[in-house]
Formats: sequence, structure tokens, C-alpha cells
Amino acid sequence: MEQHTLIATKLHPPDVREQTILRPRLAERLNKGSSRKLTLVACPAGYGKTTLLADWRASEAVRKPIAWLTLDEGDRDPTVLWSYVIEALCRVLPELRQTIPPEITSTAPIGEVALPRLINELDAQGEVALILDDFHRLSSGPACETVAWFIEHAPSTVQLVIATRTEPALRLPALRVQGELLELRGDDLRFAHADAREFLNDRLKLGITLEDVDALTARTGGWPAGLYLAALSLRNAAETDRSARIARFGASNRHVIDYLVTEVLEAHDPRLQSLMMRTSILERLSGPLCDAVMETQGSAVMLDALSRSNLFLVRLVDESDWYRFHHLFVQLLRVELGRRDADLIPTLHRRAYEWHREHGSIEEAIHHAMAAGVFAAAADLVAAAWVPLGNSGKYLTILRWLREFPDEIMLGDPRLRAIEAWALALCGRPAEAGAAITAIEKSNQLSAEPLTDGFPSVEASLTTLQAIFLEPAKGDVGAQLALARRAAELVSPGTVWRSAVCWAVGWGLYFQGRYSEADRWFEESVVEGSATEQWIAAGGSLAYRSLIAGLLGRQATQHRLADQAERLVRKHRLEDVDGEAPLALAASLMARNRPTDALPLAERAVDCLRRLGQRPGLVDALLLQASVLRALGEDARASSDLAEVRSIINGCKDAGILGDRLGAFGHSPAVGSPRRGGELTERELTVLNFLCGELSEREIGRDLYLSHNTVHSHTRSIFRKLAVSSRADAVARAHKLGLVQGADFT
Amino acid sequence: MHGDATRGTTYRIVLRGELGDDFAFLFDDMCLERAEGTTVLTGRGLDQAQLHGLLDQAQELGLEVVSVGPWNDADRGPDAAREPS
Repeated sequence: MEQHTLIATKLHPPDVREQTILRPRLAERLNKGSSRKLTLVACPAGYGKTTLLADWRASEAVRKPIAWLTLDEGDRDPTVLWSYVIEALCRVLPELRQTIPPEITSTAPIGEVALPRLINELDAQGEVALILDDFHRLSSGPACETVAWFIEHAPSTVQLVIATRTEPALRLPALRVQGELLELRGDDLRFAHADAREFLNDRLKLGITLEDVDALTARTGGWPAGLYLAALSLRNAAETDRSARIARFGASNRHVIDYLVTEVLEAHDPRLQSLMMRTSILERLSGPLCDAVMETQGSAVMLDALSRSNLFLVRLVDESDWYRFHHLFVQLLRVELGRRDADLIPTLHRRAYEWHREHGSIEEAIHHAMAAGVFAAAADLVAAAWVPLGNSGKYLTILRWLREFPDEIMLGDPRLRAIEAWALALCGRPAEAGAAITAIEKSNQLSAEPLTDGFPSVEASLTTLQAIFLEPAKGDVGAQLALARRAAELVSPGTVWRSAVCWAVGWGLYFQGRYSEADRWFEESVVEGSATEQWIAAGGSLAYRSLIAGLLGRQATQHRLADQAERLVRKHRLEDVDGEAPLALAASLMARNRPTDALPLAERAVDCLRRLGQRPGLVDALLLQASVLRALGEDARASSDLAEVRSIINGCKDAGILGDRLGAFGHSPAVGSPRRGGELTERELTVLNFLCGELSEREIGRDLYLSHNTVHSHTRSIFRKLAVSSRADAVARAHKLGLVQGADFT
Repeated sequence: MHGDATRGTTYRIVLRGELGDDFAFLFDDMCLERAEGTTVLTGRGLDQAQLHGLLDQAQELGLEVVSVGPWNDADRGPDAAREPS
């Protein structure tokens, strides 16, 4: 069953249909939007927004690439939204695919990593347009915020076109004032009399009198959906009958949609009527799915025929044979279904849930299970699906599912409440997660039943959550260790969560300075993690083992493990969530006397750990960064890091060994302390000797296995320390001070 | 599924065009009446979330919202006699 792969149908616009009219005037206006930050098509349902944009895209695509994405509620999760946007862009800009992975698996906040990267890559591309259809489905919220950010920062070569039913929360007034907004609204898309004539007589070949066309246009106010419903209802009517029917319609006060839906349905044969009504409960339709829901055969053929003759049924992607009803029309079908066969509705949903569970998408399975009132089954699905979703950063999606459960179900199902606590913690809402945990503990629901996500019990799940996420953020090492040990009692070896739990115990011991003990736990974590593909835990544990090796003076092991950790992180694309591997690598480089190379890694570690809110880990990283900065002579920055360390430690309830480490910092010499020649470090002396020879800096770098930049940096440092400003002067001074041998070093 | 009539507010939503009684199904079984080219939906005990949900539903159907506001039965005056309870 497809779980988290991208749904292709969202990425494909509906086909251009013969029955729709072209609107060259509107297409021209859309083209003018390329010079503005935002093109907005905002009008109610049934005005033909999607049709207009699909047609425009089809004709303009020869001139510039136009990406398409149809939004739905699932896109309110920014991770989901931007995964789709990137995929949509990659489909029309193939070069983009080399540089940006479409599926965002990072758990780092979108705005800080993925979006800036996207903007940079788009800068290098040419003109492109991006159409976001059904934007109202996003409502306002974090996803909408990211789009607002994108509008502000996207290069001018990107034309963003948004189709919506409601005014989006995208700071429109500001854009209007700046002249950066192009708008098409209801009155622009309304059919004028000429449009209606072309539509009804030329395209749909109804052959009704011009008077009748005008009457229909007036009656519907030029509302395209209304006109189309009228056309459908008239199609099978005898020509002689049509004027009379139109007159009756004109005389009625009933709203178009009420008046016509029955007429439209009755214009189809009974089998088709049944198909249309009963499948109206589905988000999207395929032959096999409809067969399952209706307990019949042959739906595929009917759908195909219907889609050709009826604009309200849209075929989605050529290969996959999926269709969707127009949103407006499907509501009317549901009314009819309710009118004629309300009792059947839960059964239809149940059949849909069963089909999706086996063959379809987990999201739709969950939706139908809930609609059928089969909440236990829906809960099972959520419980089984949440971990992979969480691992790829889609926490908001998990919370959205949970919100749809009725309160009684949520309160009665400790599994769901535990998942909610996890999702809140992963979303960066630790206070709410903690409150959820307290509520669960108070409710006495900690039964010992195993959960489908691999936890042996709710208690195990919550204890692990606290040990890994919530306690490390609080800065109480002693409390964290106690919880981690408890988690280790509850989660056995050989199960999927064991590596994370072992990491948590190791972490607590590490920050208590009990390095050998910690190392054993980290070692188990690596073994377990590799066996169960829990790469975040395994990578983090490898990194800590490296740090421990360094602290215990085992340098060869330190270097080996640091490289291993970095490679693992890179292989599984965990760079944005892992602060420990760069930290270990930085420490290893420092031990090899390479502070210049260590600095960017230390900075990355500090950044990441600060973002993750992990206080003791951050202190660890800041201490290392401070030592790197000291070695590079950047004392001011080093002091500021130490000050931050001091303040964090003071704010921690129990900072373990960190207080001692800060104290020891003041007394240890800067790494790479000078041996001979005043203040030069050993490395600098080596380079100085080379400078006395004939090789260029680049060649020196090659000989010493250093980058050119590093050599240059050493050279600058040497010049500063010797108080000279040229290589020749440095050589002269070096000889004068007796720092180098007389003969050529090379 | 109305809101809890002992909490929340009674709201009245007026939509352009007359809809048949069956459409109440799409509006959480609110009280639905027709009056002079409009449809009047009355919902008791609604909170804001429910109110917005109903307005969204109207939007899904492309219906034009004429007015939305709290409704006090006592305000009905002479019409009160015709109001179904």
C-alpha cells in the first residue's frame, strides 16, 4: 500500500476539454502576471478557475515551464506541501532534480533549511511559473506562512499563480499597494452573454435559441457551473421541450443547484445515476475502487464514458485511471444520496476503507474508517502509520489525524494519546507534550498491552519519549538518566526502539562523566540501530563513542569513529537533525591539530543543537567551539561562547559533569601550544619551513594534505605572529630567529 | 448534530437562492427555511468553529452569503408565531 509516496494526481492538471471555452482575454491578463510577485485567481466554487489555469498552462507551456500542484488539507503540513512543490517544479525543470531531493525527509524546520535552498536553486534557473490550485484548502497556518515567505523571497523569474475560493492570508494589502498583485475575481470569470453562447451552442452543441441562452445566462448570473448544470439537464430533452424547460427554470426561485441536480441525474441512465451517487463519498475514484464500494463490476468502463461526456467528472492522470468529481457537483450528489439512500452511507464508507487499507492510501483509509464510524480500525491505522511519518518529519499530519477523532475515542485510547504526545514533542511543543503525558498518567491508562508501533506498552512509549526528547531539553541530567534506565527496563533488546533507548542511557551517563559505562550503552545502540535501521540513533551513538574515545585519550579510535559517524549521517541524509556527528568530527580534527578545519563543523554542531533545544549537548558543542576559537586566536568569540556556557549551566537543574568541564577549560592550554619559536604552533612551524622553500601555498597544501585555504590561514597567522606582511619578510625573520634550518627544507 | 443548545450562540445564516429541505443534510441538519429568494439557516448552540464550518460548506457549494449574525428568538416579533419550534 502506498503510504508516504507522493500522490501523482495532485501534480497533474486536469486535461483540457473540448467542451470548455477559451478565454484569450483572461489568458493575456495571466501573462501580465509574470512581472509581479503574485497572480491571484479568487472566486467562489464553480467559476472555472481550474479550467482557466489548465487551459492557460497548456497554451503557455511552450514559452515557459509551468508547474502544477493541486492542494488539499494534507498540505497544511509544511513538510508535505514543500515536498510536493519541489516535485512539481522538478517535473518542469529537470536540472533542479540534480540539486534538490524532492521528498523532504529532513526533520529540521522547513523555513530554515529547505526553503532557502530552494530559492537559491531557483535563482539559477530561468523563467518558471508555479500554479497552486485550491489554495483555500491550506487555510492560514504554518504552511500558509511558508508560502508568504516564499512570495517575498522568490526570484523575479518565478511567477506564482494561486487559485482560491477565499482571500489567502498572504499579506495581500501590502502586495496591492506595491503593485505586486495581479487579481482575477468572480466578475472577471463570469460568463458574459457571448461566452455563454459559445459554450452552450458551439462547444456543447445544444442548439438552443439565442433568447434562451440569454435567459439562462441571466438566470444563473453567468455562473459557469450553473450554466453547465443547465446544459446537462437539457441534453437529453427533446428540442421542442427545451424552451419550455428553460422558461420554467427561469420562473423558479429555487437556487440553480437545487433545481437542477435532480434533473441532471435523471438525464442519465439508472446505473450511472447509482454510480454517481454512491461514489460521491470518495475523494477520488478508480474502476476497482468503485467496484468495491458498489459491490459490482465494470465501473472502469462507465467512468471512462462518463468522463468524456461530463465536465464534472475529471480524469486525473492518463496512466493511472483515477478520476475526481468537481467539488461542487460531488456535494450535490451527496445531497441526492442522502435524499434517496441515507442508510447506505456508513456501509459505503466501510467498503472504501477496506479497499484503501489493502490497495490504496493510508490517509484515505483513515478518513473512510472514521466516516464509517469504525474508529477502532482508524486508530489501528494511525498507530501503525505514525512512525514512518514521524521519521520523515510530517508531524503536523499526525496531529491532524488525531484531531479528527471524537474526544471520547481519543480519551479512551491511550495509544492515540501517546502518539499525540510524541507528535507534539517532535513539533517542538515540549510543554504540551509534557502536559499530555501527565494527563495520560493521571488517567491510569498505562496498561501493559503492546502497541503496533513496536513499543511493548504505553508506559514504555511515554518513558522513551521523555528520556529522548523532553528531559534532555530540560537540563536535568540526573532525572533524564533515571527515566532512560526505566525505559531500558521496559524496551527489550532486539526491538525497534531499543537503539533509541540505549542512546538515551548513554547520553545521561556521558553527561555525568561516566564515560566507560556510557560507551557500552552507545555501542549497544549502534548495533541495535544498524539492525533495525534506526539511523538517527545509530549515528548519534557512533558520534558519542568517538567523543568518548577522545576524552579517554584513544585517538586512533576517535578518528575512526568520527569518520564513520559522518559517513552514516551523510548516507541517510540526516545532516539537518544530527548535531553530534559534526561535533565528533570537529573534536577529532582538533586532536589532530587542525582547528581551521574543525571550526565550520563546530559551528554546524552548535547551530543544530541550539535548534533542537538540547541544552547539555549545546554546552558540549560550545566548549569545543571555544577551544577551536582559542586555538585560532579568536579570543573574543571564545569568551562569548564560554559566557553562554556558564549561563546555560546556571539555568540547568542538574548539569552533570559539565560544570567541571567548564572549570577545567580555563586551565588547559590551548590545543596546539607552541613548542619552539615563541608563539607559533607546531603546524605553523611546519608551514613556515615550507615557506622558506620554493613551493607555492597550493603545492604546500598538497604535500601536507591540507586545503589551500588552510595553508593560507596558517600563513596569515604566521605573518601576524612574526609581525611581517610578506613571505620574503617572514623567511628572513624566521632565519633571524633561528626558527628554521639554514638549508632548504624541501 | 447541533451544538449543545445550553451553550454557544444561536446563529442565522442567510444565503441567496432557495434550497430544498434536503440541503439541511449538508449543513449539519440546521433548521432550513426559505424566504423570498433566500435560504435561511438557523443553528442553536453553535460555537465559532461550527459557525465557520457552516460558512465553509456554503462556500463549497458556491452559495452567496447574504448575512450572518447571532439570532435571538425574542427578536422575531410578529414572525414568532410562524416559526416552527
